[in-house]
Amino acid sequence: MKAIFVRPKFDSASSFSHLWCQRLIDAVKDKLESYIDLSEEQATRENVEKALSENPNADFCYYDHGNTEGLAEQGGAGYVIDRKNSHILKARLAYSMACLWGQGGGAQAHSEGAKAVVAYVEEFTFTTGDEQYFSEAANSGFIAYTNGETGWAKIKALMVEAFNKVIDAIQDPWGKMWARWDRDALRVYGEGADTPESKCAFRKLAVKLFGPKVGWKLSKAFPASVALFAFGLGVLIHDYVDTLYHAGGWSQVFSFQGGYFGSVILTIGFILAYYQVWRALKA
Amino acid sequence: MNNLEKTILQYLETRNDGWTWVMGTKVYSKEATIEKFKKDKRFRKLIVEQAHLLAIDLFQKGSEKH
Repeated sequence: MKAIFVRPKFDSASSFSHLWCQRLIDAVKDKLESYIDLSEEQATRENVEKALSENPNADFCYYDHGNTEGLAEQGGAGYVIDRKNSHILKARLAYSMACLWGQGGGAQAHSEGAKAVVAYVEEFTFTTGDEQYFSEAANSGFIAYTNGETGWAKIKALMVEAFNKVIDAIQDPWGKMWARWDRDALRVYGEGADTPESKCAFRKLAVKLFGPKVGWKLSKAFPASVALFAFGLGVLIHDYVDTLYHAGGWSQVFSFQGGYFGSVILTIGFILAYYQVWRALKA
Repeated sequence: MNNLEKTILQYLETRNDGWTWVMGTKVYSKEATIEKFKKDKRFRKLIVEQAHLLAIDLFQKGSEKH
C-alpha cells in the first residue's frame, strides 16, 4: 500500500491540519510500502499531479482547507485537486480532512471512479484546547484502512464511533457540539456506505436525468444555456404565430408552415448536439 | 435573547482568555465569539440549533446505555 500525503500550511487553521496529518503519517508509516509527503511549499498542484501520475496505485490523503470546488494548494490561491483534475483520483482512496469538499468536488471524484472518498459536507470545526481528540477522530478512518479494513460502511461506522468518543471524552460543551457537527458532516462515498447528495435543485435534477458521472460534472452554465435556448425559441414562435395571425387569422396559424418545421429541426439539432456532449462526458 | 441564548452567552463570557476554536479557515477568540454571538443573528441561530441537536444526541445516548 502506497500513499501520497498533501498538507499545506499557511495560516493558523492549517497549522492544526498540518500537525494532524503528521500524527497520521507517524501512525501509519510502518504499514505503508512507501509514501510521499507533500508538505507546505511542496503542496502544489503541479507536484500533486506529478506524484499521482507517477504512482498510479497510491492512495491520496489531504489535510487542509477545502470548499465545494476543490482542495487548496499551498498559499490558498489555487487548488491541488479541483473539478478539472479530480479524474486523477480514479481507483484510489481519496481521504480528506477539509471543509465542504464532500458537497461538490469529492462527490464528483467518486462519480469519476475513485475507490472511495472520505470528505466533509460542512466546515470542519473544533476547539483548539481539545484538538488532539478531533485529530484522532479525523485520522481514525485512514488508520483503519491501513490496518486492512476495506469495507467502507465499516470505516464510516468506525469514524462515527471515534467522533462519539470525542463527544463523550471532552468536557467543553462547545467542543462537544462541534464534534457532533463534524460527525454528521462526515461522508464516506464508497460501496455500501454513503451516496453523494446535493443541496442544489439543478444538480439533483442533473444527476437524476444524466446519471452521477455526467450530473456532477455539469456547471451552472448548462441549465442557463438550456433556459436561454427555450426562452429564445419561445420568443421566436410567439412572434411567428402573431405574424401569421395578423396575416390570415387562425386558419393561417393552424396550417402547415415552414417556420414550424424550422423550429422542430432547430430543437432536434439542439438535442442532438447535447446528446453528443452527454456521450463525451459519460466516456 | 431567550434563556438558552443567555446561558450560552454566559458560558462564553466565562471562558479563559486563551480559549479559541476553529471553523473552516477562521480562528475565533473568546472576544470574537461573544461579539459574533451578540451581533450575528444567523450565527446565533446556528449555535442554538447545534445546542439543541447536541442535547438530543446526549439524551439518546443516555437512553441507549440503559
